Amino acid sequence: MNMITFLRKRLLQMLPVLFGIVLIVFMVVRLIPGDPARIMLGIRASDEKLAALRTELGLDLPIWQQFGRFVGNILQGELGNSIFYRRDVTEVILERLPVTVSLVVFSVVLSVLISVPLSIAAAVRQGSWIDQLVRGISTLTLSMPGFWLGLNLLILFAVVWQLFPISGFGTGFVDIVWHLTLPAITITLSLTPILIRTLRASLIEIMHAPHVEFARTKGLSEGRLIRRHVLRNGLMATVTILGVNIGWLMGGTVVVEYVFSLPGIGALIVSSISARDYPMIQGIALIFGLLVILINLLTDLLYAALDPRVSYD
Amino acid sequence: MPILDVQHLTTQIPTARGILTVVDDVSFAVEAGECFGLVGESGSGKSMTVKSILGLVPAPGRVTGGAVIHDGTDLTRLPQKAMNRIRGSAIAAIVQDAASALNPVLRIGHQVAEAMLEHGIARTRAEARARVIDLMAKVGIPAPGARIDDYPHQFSGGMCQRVVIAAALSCNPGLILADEPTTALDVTIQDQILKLLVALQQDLGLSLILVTHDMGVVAQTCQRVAVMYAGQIVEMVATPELFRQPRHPYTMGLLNCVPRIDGPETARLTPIPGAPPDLAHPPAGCRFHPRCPLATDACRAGRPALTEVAPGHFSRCIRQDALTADMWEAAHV
Amino acid sequence: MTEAAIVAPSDRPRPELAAMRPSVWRRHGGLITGAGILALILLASIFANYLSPYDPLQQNLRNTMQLPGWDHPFGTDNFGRDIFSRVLHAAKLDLMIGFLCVLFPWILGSVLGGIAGYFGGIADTIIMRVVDTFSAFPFLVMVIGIIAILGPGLISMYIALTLAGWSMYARIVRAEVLVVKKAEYVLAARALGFGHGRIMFRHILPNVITPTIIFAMTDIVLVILSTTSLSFLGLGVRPPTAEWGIMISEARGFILTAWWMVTLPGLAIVLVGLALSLFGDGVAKWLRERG
Repeated sequence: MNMITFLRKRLLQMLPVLFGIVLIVFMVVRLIPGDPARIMLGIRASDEKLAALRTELGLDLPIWQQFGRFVGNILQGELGNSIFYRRDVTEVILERLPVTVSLVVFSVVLSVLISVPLSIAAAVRQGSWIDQLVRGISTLTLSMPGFWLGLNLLILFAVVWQLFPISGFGTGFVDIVWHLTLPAITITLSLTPILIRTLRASLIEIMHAPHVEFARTKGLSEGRLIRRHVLRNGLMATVTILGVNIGWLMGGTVVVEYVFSLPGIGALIVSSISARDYPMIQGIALIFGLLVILINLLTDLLYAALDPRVSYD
Repeated sequence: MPILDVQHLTTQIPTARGILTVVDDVSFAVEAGECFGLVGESGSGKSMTVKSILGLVPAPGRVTGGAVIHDGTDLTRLPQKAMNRIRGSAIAAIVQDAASALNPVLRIGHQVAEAMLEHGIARTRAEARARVIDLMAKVGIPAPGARIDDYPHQFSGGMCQRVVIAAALSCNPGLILADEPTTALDVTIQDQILKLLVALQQDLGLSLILVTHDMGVVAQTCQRVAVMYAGQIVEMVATPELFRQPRHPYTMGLLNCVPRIDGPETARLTPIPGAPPDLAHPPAGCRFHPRCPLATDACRAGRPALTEVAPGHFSRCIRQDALTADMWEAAHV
Repeated sequence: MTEAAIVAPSDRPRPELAAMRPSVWRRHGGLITGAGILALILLASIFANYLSPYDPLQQNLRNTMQLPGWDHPFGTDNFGRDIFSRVLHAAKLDLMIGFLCVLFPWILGSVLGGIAGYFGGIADTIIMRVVDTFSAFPFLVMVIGIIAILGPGLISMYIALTLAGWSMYARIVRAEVLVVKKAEYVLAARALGFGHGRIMFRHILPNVITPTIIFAMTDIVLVILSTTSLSFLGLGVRPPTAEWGIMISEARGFILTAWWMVTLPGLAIVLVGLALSLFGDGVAKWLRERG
């Protein structure tokens, strides 16, 4: 199949999902029981302020028009005004997005670096003590809630041993990495067991595949067998698995940013809920949804690039 | 001096249901340049025999008894590293589903060349490439120079099988184990591949062990044949003799299942009643007795051994002299 | 005519056949251990009221921040409440939430997935588009979003977790139904004129359930982790209810002086998670072995 055709097909498939996301986000505010304006501004807000807000949000218009307005605004990058920050939602989000994105990237890199070798070791020596150890530790870390893990790491490495900062994002590349280390490790420890579990299973499946059986009859050394017939095929599986679990990772940023006081959009969504800042909540939910779709598209492309059955005519 | 001497080979697999004896006391010898057939139903143990010879029995199964003598060494006692030197070079294999046997993300050329590079037959990539093109031509792949860089999905089933054969031939093995090489192919392609195998075998003087469930294939290609049932060899003899005078009820039953072009138009195919036994709990005595019209008490006790009941003709049936041409049909009346 | 030699049952030495079969412990050790721990925890939580030495909500301001000791096996918190009692009661709450928030998505997802797979066509397209959309949001973000609409609280959490969690079950069930639909026995049933409902319930359902149960086992751990996380963030169960997440959240300020306030409830979560994982993996393995 042609790469261009592939791309076109995937984009077309994305459209209904995009529409769905926008619809759901749109409904966030409209489904609030009670008067959204009053909830947002508080009980003591004056009637004029309430009326102004209602007009701004378009709450007095028929629902179709509201939706149309909403979509139109989004296409222009207009996500409304934050009640709490009294600024453009888009502005605030764009300011804080790099923090979350850096955290996600850092965590993904760490997770892949840890889970891929461990999965390979466990799959190749299935049933051995390495396999048991890897699976045992995975099950253990899987059961640890991110916030608890984060807190423990914080105490141990930042407070007691003072190796890492307690909070904040930092400036400059090295400083940022230093600040993000503990948070990234926290996310990694939660994500790695899931990755290992699926990747190991995929690798074991590959190792029992007919093409590996045939390769064995050629008398290839175990090392060469693994490298040429298992890993390359496993790489494609890794890409897919990562794509599937990226949503989980991004959910993890919410808790981790909160515990480590990082100025990202994860922490922002939590504070926005207490502040009843619905435009902000809407905006962040939309961004998260878009990010996940984007990353899924990227992993699909990466997979297609690795698969010789998709060509580049 | 046979190129492969299998002596009392036994392979077992532990399962939740019990221990399956999938290869039970199998003995046969293959001479240089000979084509030897191993025929039987699914589950008869023929594939497992091949895997046992190659040392590739899937865990937790293991070869638990007997010996496989090749070039003076017992293969069953070799460690994996030593066995790896023999696999692909002295003894090669051809598998059933060629399309799945090829790695979809590697180019055909690489897959044919692998064994050569591993075993040192070709020292450089260039040398390997030249030999691969040669091999591909030999197995009848058109325009090998162009197709060497293609991927498996660009080849048809028959072509994939040719690639697999090319890979098997790459290190000039003395013996090739072919496990149902034509089963997954269209009938017309089957014929082509079989003819190719026979031609290659004769040209290169290889020995070939051909595993199949198809009596027709056996008739076409093999000089000698062993019939397997429930993990045991029940009859072994030169091919023409097997068809002329089978000396085991099971073999007769198998032959009766094949429609004959020279038989009467209204002749019925008589299937063998019953089903193959559970290998975890095989019947006592002769494994075939529950389904055999000739079974007697003697058949139900003891373990009949494979004996030479006529010159060069081995059978496990103690009542083989009572076999008649129409016994299966008679049993169905 | 030659006499075939009949050899008595072989007296060739055979390898230790018994040694080749892995023992029951090796095969099902995880399942047994997990089930054991789980049983203990379940019993402890069911009888929390009887086993707790103190009332979990009872404050005792003269006895705050006590180290774990005889009087208080897990120590006391900043309000003087006995942590052991709170952990026990929290077990009851969290386990119940975990179970229900897997049960509801399981039911909802299986029904919708079954309909989508069985009837195909428009129903399938609509349902799967909805599944895709719901799957596009990170789980926690979606849950938080729903809680944002409904306001924090226990009921909101139930609703949010259910709405965020059903889509995976729908996918699994739909995939299985698509496969089973083409199976011979279903075609036979249709040929016999059985109604859709009967086919779905008696023929398709039993075969489709196994993968969902396997998934549910992992899901329950995730749900419990999400519940505690949400409560930690202040979006779920409200204080002063005893809940593991809340307990850790309240303990944040005292982490240097009273580490047991954070560590012990956390260990409880880990223990439950471990037991559930072991049990779940064991059940999955057992189901797969049965074929």
